[in-house]
Amino acid sequence: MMFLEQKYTTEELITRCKAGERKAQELLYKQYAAKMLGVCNRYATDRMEAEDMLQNGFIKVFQKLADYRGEGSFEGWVRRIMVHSSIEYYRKHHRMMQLVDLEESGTEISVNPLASAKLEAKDLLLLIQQLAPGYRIVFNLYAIEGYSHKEIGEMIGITEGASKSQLSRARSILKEQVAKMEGQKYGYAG
Amino acid sequence: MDMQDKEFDELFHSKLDNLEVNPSEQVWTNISGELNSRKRKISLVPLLSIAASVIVLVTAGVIFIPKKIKTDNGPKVKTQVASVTKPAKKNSDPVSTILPVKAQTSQPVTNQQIAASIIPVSRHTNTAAHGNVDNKHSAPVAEQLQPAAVNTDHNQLAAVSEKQEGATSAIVPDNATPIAVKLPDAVSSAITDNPKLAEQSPAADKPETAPAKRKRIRSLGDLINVVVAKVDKRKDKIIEFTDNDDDDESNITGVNLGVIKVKK
Repeated sequence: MMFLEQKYTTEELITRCKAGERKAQELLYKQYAAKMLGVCNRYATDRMEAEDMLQNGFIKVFQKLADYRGEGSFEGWVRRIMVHSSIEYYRKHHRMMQLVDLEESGTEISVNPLASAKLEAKDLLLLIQQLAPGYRIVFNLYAIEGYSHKEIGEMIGITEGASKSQLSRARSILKEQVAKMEGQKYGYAG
Repeated sequence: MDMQDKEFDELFHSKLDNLEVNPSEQVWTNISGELNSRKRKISLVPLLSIAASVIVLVTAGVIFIPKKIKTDNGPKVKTQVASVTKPAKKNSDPVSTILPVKAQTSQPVTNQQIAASIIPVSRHTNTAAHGNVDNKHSAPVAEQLQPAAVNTDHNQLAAVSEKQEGATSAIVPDNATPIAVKLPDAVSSAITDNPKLAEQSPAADKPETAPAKRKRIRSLGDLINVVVAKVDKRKDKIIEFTDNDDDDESNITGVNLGVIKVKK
């Protein structure tokens, strides 16, 4: 995607998109689509859901483009819209914020850092996608996007405490799964 | 050797933050389609408002045109009447020369006069009346006149009725039948008006209707221009739209309600 026609700078593209030029909109889309599908993928259960989120997100990007004042990076702006679009998707399609209570596993799961470093991105992505939506969203927002619990609470309409507890449950599930995966891959159980 | 939470988060962050996945072609197709449908919804609103205003103005125009025409074309009518009376000079009283015609006691003088007055009309209209006029001279004039009057197309009838100050001013310009029905009363005026028509038609009608027909109708505005041109014979139409080819939106360029005139 990077070797795409670099005829326009991002600023020129944005100006042309604001004027409603379909060709410019397509170029802008192509410039960010792969990156943004990478973002949506983490919030989705599967590829199809992710593409739905991406589609809704880009329509919002083009609608809100007039509001973009050039403050901060454009990619960051698009990315925030994608994240919100993904959360919105779950608000519409799932009652996601309900907590799924898990049996507390008494034993701490240990993960070998060296082995886990060899896990591929697609494996980790699969683990995240298998989480319940509520856990998945909180883990994404905190661990990958870098939002605080306070911000997460405001974004998805839960308390700060609920965000913390969902994060820790998400982590413990993931650790368990990572250990399992390492065991399958390298022939020993964590 | 357990990982701390931070390290664990960092593992996911480093591997997934910059992950890129190419979407299927369908996604852009859907986005493009969605953007198109929204655009259409938006552009429909001004179009509807134009259509609504056109209906209001045309309705108002149809109601008020007969009155306005009289005031607008006051001086014009006078000069035309003056020129009409010229051929009728031989007879001291124009009405008296026409009355016999109506009664079918045709006199040679009036026949010629009427024939002369009809020929320009039929030439202009290109209807079946053309043949009739050539053959007739001593034939019952009143009978000939009726088809001639009916055959003149609506525009001219409309023009005739608009120019008349008296009895026929009540006739709706668009409607031909009342004129035909009223002929017994109106024959006299119709006859005297025929030369008027002959003078007036090439001068006033042609320049306006001819270009309208040549043009292709490309938009709602063009369509309304043509329809309005059929009904409204004035130089400034009751409503006019842009005849801009490259613009797909129609804009009003002129409004003429007689009292209120706006033109871009």
